[in-house]
Amino acid sequence: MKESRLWFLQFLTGAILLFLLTMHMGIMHLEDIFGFISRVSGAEPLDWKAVLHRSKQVAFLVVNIIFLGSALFHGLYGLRNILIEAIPSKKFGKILGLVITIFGIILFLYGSYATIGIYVKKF
Amino acid sequence: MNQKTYKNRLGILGWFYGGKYWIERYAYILHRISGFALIFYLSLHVFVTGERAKGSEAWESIMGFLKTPVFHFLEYLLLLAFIYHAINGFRLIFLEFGVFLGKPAQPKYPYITSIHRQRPFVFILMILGAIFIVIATIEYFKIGG
Repeated sequence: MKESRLWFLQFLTGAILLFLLTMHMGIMHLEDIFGFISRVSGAEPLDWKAVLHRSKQVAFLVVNIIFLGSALFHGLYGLRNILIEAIPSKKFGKILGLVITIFGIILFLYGSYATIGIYVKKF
Repeated sequence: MNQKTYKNRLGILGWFYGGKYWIERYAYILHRISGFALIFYLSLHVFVTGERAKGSEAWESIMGFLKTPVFHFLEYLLLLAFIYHAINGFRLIFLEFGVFLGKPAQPKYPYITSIHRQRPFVFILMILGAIFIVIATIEYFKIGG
């Protein structure tokens, strides 16, 4: 993909993350402020009961996968750019691009598997 | 990577000298450091939260390990990194689209560059970031009940 398109995606995913990561951090760590979104009575946000409650909602399933993809692209593309700047060699850039892409795909597949897995499994 | 590449003379050390770029340069350095922290955490986070697919026992076991004061504090640092990275990223999106940079014009003395034009925006966002950090700290540690 052209570098300009990757750069555009970096900003697009940045804008998506600005919203989704704020929601995620808020729901998980600042429940007195963001608790109205997905509070389970008598449970902390990281208790199994609350985790299961969120994971069984189709909206959370879809948003989580978009969130995961955006976060991985944004983070790994940013990391690649920093490393290429630190070591400006074409060969290194190509190898790094390949390694980071494979790493990102593995994380995306595993994260999606866990998200879909808990959604479909009966506990 | 088709363009010609140049030798990076200063390497990583070049990050730590703002020079005439001043606050924007330091904002950029902090953006990278906070970005490093976030991507490192994300890589581990995907595997840790993946434990939920194995059921309640696996989940409780990993949470028991992560609910220690050390991890609680590290997550707080991550929250700070996120707030800073988000606020500065918000600024970068605006700048990418040319907002607050002014229209191109014939330079007239005393020269005002695009860096000077957008500087109030930097200060406003950094103050806003500081306010968010104070609110998040109070809420995270349940200060005052």
